[in-house]
Amino acid sequence: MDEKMKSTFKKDKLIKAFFASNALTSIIILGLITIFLFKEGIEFFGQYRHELERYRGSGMEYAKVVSTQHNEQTTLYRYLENILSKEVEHFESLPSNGPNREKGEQGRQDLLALTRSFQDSKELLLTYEKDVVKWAAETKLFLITQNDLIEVKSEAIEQKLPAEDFPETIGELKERNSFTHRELARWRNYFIRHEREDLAKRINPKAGDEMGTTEKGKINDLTDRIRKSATVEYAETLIAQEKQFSEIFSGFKPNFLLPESEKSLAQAQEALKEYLSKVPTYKERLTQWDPLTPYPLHRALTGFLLGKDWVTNSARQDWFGVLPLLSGSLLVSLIALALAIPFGVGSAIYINQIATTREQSIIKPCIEFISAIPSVLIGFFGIAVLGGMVSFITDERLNSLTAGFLLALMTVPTIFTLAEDSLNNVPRVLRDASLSLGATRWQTCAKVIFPSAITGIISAVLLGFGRVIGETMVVLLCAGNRIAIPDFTSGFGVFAQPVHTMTGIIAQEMGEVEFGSIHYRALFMVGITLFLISLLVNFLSQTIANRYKNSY
Amino acid sequence: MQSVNDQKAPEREGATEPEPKNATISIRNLDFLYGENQVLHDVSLDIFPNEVMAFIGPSGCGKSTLLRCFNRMNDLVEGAKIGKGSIEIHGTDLQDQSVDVIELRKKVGMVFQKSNPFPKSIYQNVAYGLQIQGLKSKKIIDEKVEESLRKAALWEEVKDRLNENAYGLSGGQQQRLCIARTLAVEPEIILMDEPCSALDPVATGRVEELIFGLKAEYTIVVVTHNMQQAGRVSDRTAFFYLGKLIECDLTKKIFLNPSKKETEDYISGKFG
Repeated sequence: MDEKMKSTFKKDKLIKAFFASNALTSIIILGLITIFLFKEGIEFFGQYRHELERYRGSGMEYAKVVSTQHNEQTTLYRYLENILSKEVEHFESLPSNGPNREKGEQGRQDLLALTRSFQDSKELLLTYEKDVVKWAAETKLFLITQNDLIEVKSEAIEQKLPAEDFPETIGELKERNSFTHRELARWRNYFIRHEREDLAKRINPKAGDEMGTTEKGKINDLTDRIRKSATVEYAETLIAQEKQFSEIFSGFKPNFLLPESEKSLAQAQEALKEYLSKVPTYKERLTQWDPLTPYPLHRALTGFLLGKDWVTNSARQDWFGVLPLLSGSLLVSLIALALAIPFGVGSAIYINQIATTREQSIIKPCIEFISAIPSVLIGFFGIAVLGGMVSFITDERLNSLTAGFLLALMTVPTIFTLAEDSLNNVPRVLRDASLSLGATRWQTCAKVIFPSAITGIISAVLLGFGRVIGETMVVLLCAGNRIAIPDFTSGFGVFAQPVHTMTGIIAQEMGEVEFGSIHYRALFMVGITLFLISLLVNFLSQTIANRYKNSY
Repeated sequence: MQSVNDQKAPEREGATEPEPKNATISIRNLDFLYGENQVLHDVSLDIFPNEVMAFIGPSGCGKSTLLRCFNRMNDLVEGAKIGKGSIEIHGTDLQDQSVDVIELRKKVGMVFQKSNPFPKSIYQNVAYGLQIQGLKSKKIIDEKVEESLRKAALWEEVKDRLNENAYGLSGGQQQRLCIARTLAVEPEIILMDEPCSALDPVATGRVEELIFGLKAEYTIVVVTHNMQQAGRVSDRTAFFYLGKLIECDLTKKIFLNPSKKETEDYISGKFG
């Protein structure tokens, strides 16, 4: 008897251990995921700061300002081009021997000349910009190469590799102003010889050629050159341009066929005036630019959180700002929730309050089945069918509206099921009490049942939000994948813009990035952002749900 | 519905059988079914103005079902229907097409087994019945809330915290709040479905006192498991067994000298 009891006891313990280990494993894995995510992501800031320092030190920052200024001039040029194309279009439509033909021909020639001379003038700044970019790119390449060399050298020292062909110390590398092709090739071979292909891969001998520093002098000279050019070449260019601009317009006698062209020209001149008023600011920024000003770490953080650009594999400079992705995700989620809440909560109220048992037995499984459809199929449907339908109301087939519709469909079951549960959990006696006081069914529903269930419904909506913002496949397929902050000034048009999302970008780019690179870390940071949002939403919905539990 | 009460309510001690024609509620040969399952068999009973009628009997004997017929709460139960017979309140057949259930329920209030205040403030709970009728004037609502709470003997306890959640009250207070909520609508008849079953003896005592006091203005029907309670609060008692009305008589007589054997067995605790 005792033996039997002992074995039962043992079995009990075993069973207990089995279930406990299941729970424990899940929790440990969750912890590992969190740690891994943060560990990989957090290094991003140091790297990004480094990257931004290089951006400044190389002169790319300077080039960017010049480029922005040039873009403004291009905008001005577009004004003129527009007038020209409208005039020409109108001119072509005139009968070939009409009375306006000759006058039109003259006007067209004049306008063409105006546009051309403006473009020529604009070209002056472009030429300067190109020079600056060339110098900056060279410097940047040098800085990257130098950085890589220092890293592989310290690795070599750590691994106690013999000096041999790579006797240069880190201090010496830091002092260098250029690297030649020959040197780089030698160092690369040195690592290959020591069977460190991974390190050898980081040295690119071609960089030595592209730097071309041998003919142009030292790298420090290049940044100096850029800095000095602000008061020389740049200033000269601006003076020349300003003079030309005023000459072009003062010498122009408008001779338009279309009356609205006059107005457009006035607009263009107005825009030019506005541009000219901004020129001193550009000037000031460029003359005060200093490649050695340090970049504080918090700028890397704000650069990520508030950065408006997500640009990767760019020839000039990569940007890792989460804002376009975050805003895209939020926009799509907003559309999805705006649709899913009325549908989900509405059907929950119908099922709970109105439907007969038979209707319930049909509708409930149907709605719940939606969540069983693989999301890739829903995305497929979005591309093939819904995109075409959406294109009737918007310009593009795939945009935030398409993705929003589909995500709404996917999240209706979540909201429906949870909202229905919380309506169901409202004690029957409350309904009875209300009815027994002479309330109608609708009054009871609106004033007693719905308010009693509201916390549950809110937490249902929050969980729906969590589901939407974490959904990947549908947005990747159907959101249009244009990386830009949606233009919220365009009213309802904002819903028709293609967007990219946080989940989409991770799925799309993670497969191609180099392990450990800044791009790789940036994607992890996006993942962390997503993780934190989901965590917050979950926490909120649980807090609300708990409060709801305690209210009865 | 105008009260046709000319005659004084029967005295609790030594009362006599009142005249059937003055009945507030009169039930005639009522059969009631849940689907195929018949739960009331040929019940006939009159309930008179300003009396407290107690329904007693073992679980499942149909007393609650009958109570819920008076304000047609059984409408909410799928498959519940009257087989034959009728229930009239002041001569109006409740099953008649022309009966407005909403109006009926305003006249026939109900207090439930478990206190079920709304998850709202104390004030809102009492004002609810008035607000759903479209009453807007804050002044009138304030007055009625106070009046109802006073009648329910709760005013003194809650007057300083009317805006607190009703769930902060004790069980007995909550039940009295539910009574106040019912009184605010100014019903003529109050149905109570085991109103004290979830309360401790002290709270029960207070509610019983309240029921006894309300008799002057309302006709009250109480369903109870507790025979001592029936004895304490009611004028007449009806004993149900297996869906049949076995006996209905003055409470004193039922308890001291029942005319049916089943009644005697139940009262003396042989079953139930």
